[in-house]
Amino acid sequence: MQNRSTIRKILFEYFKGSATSVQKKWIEEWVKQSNENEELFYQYLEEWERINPQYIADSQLAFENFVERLNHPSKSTFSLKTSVVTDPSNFRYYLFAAASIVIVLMFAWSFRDPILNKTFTTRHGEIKMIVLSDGTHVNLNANSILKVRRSWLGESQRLAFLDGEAFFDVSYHEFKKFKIRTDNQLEVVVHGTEFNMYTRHKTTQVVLKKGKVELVKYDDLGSNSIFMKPGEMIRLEPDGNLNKTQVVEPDQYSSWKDHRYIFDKTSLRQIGNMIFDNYGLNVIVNDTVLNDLTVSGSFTAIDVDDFANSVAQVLDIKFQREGDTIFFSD
Amino acid sequence: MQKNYDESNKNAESESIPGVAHVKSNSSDVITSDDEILIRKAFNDQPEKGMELLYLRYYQPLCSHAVKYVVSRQLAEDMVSDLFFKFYEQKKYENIQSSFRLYLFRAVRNTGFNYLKWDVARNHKLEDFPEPVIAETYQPDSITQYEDLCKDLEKAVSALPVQQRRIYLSFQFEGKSMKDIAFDLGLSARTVEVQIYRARNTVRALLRDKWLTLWGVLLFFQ
Repeated sequence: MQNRSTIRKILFEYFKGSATSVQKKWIEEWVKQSNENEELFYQYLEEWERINPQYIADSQLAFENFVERLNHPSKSTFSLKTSVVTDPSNFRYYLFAAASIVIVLMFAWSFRDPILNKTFTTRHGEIKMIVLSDGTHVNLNANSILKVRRSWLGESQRLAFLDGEAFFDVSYHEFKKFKIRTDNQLEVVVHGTEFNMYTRHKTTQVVLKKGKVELVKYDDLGSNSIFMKPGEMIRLEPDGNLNKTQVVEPDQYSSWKDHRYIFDKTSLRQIGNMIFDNYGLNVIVNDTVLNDLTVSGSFTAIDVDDFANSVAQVLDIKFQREGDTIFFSD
Repeated sequence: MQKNYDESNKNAESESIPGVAHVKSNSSDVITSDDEILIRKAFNDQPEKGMELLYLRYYQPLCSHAVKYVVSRQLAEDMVSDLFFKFYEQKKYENIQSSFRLYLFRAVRNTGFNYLKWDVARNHKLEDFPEPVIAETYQPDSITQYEDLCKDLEKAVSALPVQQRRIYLSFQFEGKSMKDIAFDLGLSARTVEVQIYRARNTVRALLRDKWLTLWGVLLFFQ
């Protein structure tokens, strides 16, 4: 058997991250050789973690929590999954209990989802044309999800859920209203119409081209509804504010369908966010002053490089693409 | 903190642990020098006592190890606490052939590994929560893959731009809210949110490139 202190030394190099690939290969083989070796591996791993802690955990408190959990089995439902979404807090247990109920519900929901809904997704940079079974046409912009309630359920409404951006040309059915929900408690009730809808980052924006649309906003107190007229744009901000504006050209809000981009005093920052949302690329601007430069006008771009290049040309700045990142610079 | 244990001291009987002086050990039961003998004896007599020793002994190093996979203090501690709870509830201590240490470390490594795998492959939507992460679901064919993965994650995080990394770690590791981070750094909440989002994406993308084919979960992106 090899000298233990040598093994310890090699393993410590390895845990530190500076073992050579030959050493790694050796460790692999050595661990497989016998149970004793494997035990020794973990013994040194423990020692390493003890000497080089990433941070100091409170073992005493953790044990007290354990005892608490034993004595209150109802609180024992929390697990790894819950903390993915909860913020740590002093009222950990209550939060965990509440969060785990939410998670359980979400699990139940996500299990039901494929049965209840048909889901359409687009990848970064992809635009899809979808025809639903009721004859409704949908152009789904990049990086978006549209879920449509399956029709065999025989409901009195047609229900859809949008996260992203889409243009809808809804076919008219007198008794079956088309409804689109967002994740910020907004519902768009459609009465046969064409409109563009954007819902990302808790912001929803609807631009009505023709027909009639009703927006229903749900909150703790109940719901409010507004009817939109053609040419109107309504925007729901994350803070709950609703803004109504008259737009001259409703079409320009859905020009992305044809890979056309129309800007009206749009800042480079906003364009950067758009590139991030639609193409999944990071945008880095080397000088923050550039962020406030604005673009007005329209152009057609088939892909993100083409797009970024056009923006750079208009602003007379340089652009460079490196992997998943686009750099704009003077 | 817990500095009660002198690792160089492998003679269990001479270890003094506060609160367990009544646990008697009989050296004739031990075949080789076993630094877990006190813990095992405590589990025989009184499992809850055993758990206390287990916590004092392994909680810290396990959390320290787990955090290398999840980059979140909260998540690491939940993971280890969960493991300990199952260990007790399902009476795992009764029929583990190996040392507790081996069992616990291996479980943490598997859970961490699978968590990261899921995290890298998922769409970042809550609705897409996966099946529960089970410690036994995936075992790399060689032990060094665990460290390789941690190392790649560490590299990805340290390669982030300074400010972004600072925000990312405050959020991910310390579990601070976006609001608090924005306040501390004098930035807008929106900036903080974007930075976190970008940092996460960058980290995921770097890991994805190397590990996803290995994991064969490309269907996630269909």
